[in-house]
Amino acid sequence: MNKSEFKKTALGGLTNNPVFVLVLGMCPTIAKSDNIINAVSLGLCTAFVLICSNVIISALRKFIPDKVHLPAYIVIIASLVTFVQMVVSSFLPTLNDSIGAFISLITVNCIILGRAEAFAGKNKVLPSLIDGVSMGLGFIAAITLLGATRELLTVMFGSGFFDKTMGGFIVLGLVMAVFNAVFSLIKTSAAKRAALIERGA
Amino acid sequence: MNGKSLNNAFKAVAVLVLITAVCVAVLTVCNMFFPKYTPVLDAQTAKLINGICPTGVEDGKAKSDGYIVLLNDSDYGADMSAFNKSNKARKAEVLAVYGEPKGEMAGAYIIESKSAGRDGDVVVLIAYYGKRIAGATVKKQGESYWSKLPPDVFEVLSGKDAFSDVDLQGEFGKTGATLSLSAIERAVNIANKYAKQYDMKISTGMIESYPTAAAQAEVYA
Repeated sequence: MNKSEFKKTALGGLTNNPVFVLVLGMCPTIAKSDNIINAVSLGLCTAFVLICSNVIISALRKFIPDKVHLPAYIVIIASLVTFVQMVVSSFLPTLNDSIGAFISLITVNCIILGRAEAFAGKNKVLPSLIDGVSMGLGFIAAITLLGATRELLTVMFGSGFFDKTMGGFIVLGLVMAVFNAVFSLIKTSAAKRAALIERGA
Repeated sequence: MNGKSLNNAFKAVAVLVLITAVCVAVLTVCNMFFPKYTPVLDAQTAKLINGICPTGVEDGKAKSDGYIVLLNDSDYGADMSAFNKSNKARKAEVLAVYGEPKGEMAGAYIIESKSAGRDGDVVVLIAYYGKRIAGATVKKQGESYWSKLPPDVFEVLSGKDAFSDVDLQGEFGKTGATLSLSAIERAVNIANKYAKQYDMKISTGMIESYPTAAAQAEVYA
């Protein structure tokens, strides 16, 4: 893995943010970003499953036949999700009461299966680990930002809208728009600077 | 289908079976090391019990002054794990028995039981007094459609015969929370069955030493 590949993979969570750019995993993102604690907790659980599944799938990629790679990935992801659920229900029962139903749904989260299919199944363990960490952090950041914004708006305007699904959709749309606008501004200015440097050279 | 493709198909199935077996084995081993749910008489449980089976004193005092106590198997000569094992088909488990040796409803006993609902275990507390259900409430649940349950789902249990099965499904019909309702029903029914055994031990004089049993005998007399 050379330096530019490493940089590309490590920044994947930002440049290809699973929530704001790829628009994946919308169901738990909207449902459990009603407050910051739920958002961070679900983000951490998802990131753990994502990192572990990326590493395991990448390590087993040559062993798993093409014909059954999807069922095999699902078995691995479901086992990791079951493990997370066992840990949460045993040690964090209060958290389990609030996000328990959505932990099981991590199994069918498109971010995890998507990264397994698009990256971990085709790359070595280290790049897959970096991709998992990057994407996991990207998801945690996105869901936390959304949770914080919704909680703040709920405190400001009272409960009943921003803590509900409809408010979640609107806040997600607004935060997504701001993220993409800022990100494209940064990209444009970086491209201009690179062009100037090239011309100067 | 030629030999090579048959071979590939077998290989694919074998790999899938192997991955599944390894995953199941790892989870089974992990499960052995995770702490199991153990019922305790904490402040929340005391408050719930005092709500369905009033002791006549405030929640904190009811717990600290022994108005509500957590009974051990040895207190009433029962083997809860053997009972649960023999009633596995009922898909519900008895978790604990609490007693009220003194207070307004001295002699009452409360059974904590659980059954799997839609999103995990539903844990309920059922209070028994004088061969009738004195009250019931939920201790723990994480059900998505809990709000769809009829508001009087626990109230209807009060006064029912302590030792017969209840039919909440038949009583309420369609609720929108069928799995949660059947979990409550199973939990209540397993508790009723256990209560029958417990009661039999009292009426036949098998339990004499424990104060709850003495108070319970007085209720029946």
